[in-house]
Amino acid sequence: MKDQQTKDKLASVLSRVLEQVAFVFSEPAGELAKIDPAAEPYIEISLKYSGASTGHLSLILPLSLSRQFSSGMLGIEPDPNDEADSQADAAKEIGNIVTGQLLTELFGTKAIFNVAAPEVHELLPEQFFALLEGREYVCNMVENQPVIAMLTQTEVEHERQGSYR
Amino acid sequence: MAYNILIVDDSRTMRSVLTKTLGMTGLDLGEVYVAENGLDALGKLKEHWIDLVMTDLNMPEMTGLELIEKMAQDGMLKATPVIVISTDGSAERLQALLEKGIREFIRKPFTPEAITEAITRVLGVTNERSANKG
Repeated sequence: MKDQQTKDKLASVLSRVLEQVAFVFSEPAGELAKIDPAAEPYIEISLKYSGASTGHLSLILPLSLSRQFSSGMLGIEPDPNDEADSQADAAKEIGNIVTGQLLTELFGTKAIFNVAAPEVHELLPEQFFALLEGREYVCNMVENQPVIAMLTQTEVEHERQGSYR
Repeated sequence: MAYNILIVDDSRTMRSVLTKTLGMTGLDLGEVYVAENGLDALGKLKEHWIDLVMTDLNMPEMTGLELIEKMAQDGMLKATPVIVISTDGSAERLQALLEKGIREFIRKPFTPEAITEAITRVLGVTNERSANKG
């Protein structure tokens, strides 16, 4: 994710999907200094894609926020006693939708992609900032909790379409 | 006539959202069955009478596309209508799915109205809520 247009599109898609799917409003965050990854468990949702371009999209967020997304999607109170994998399910689906929407915005509807099933990793506090160090990312805040998104493109096979270059 | 519907999605959350959305459509629903992937769906299709399949594409074990192909090869299942609900935005893939016989394609994120409209078109029914308005 090397250019500003890609970052802007990712931030816009992330914000839109959170609003449409989980019914939460998010605001862009400038810096992450105030985030304490030791305060609660964080997860990384990773989705690999291949086709007109190859790469992966990652979402990093507190597990409790995924529970909140689930609550917004289902209209019921979250159950903190659910297993971690169940709690992460809503974030996996949001990652899936963000990836699909972003790839269309970047490459147009003529490009074909295969997106692998989302993988979930629990992050240790020391892994949180290590994962972000030297990387380009966007961060949206939902009720003072961060949702961080990163796009890593390893290969582009075709010219992009539309206004994005 | 009550319609039995099978929801196929690897996300537990999305299966619940779709089940809840179906309940809001005002359609005359019978049983709503759920499956985690294409393989699971084939089992449900053999166990129960299903009037409509609503499936995701990107799933482990057996994808939605593989499920659609298996159904097309089965004399009993090939007439069962399929609606695909996916994040995929490729026009070419949509065309390929339509050529394989799917009846509707809904892109995630979806609205309850989009689900209702697609089902009423596919099943050729009017939902009770719309009928009552008239």
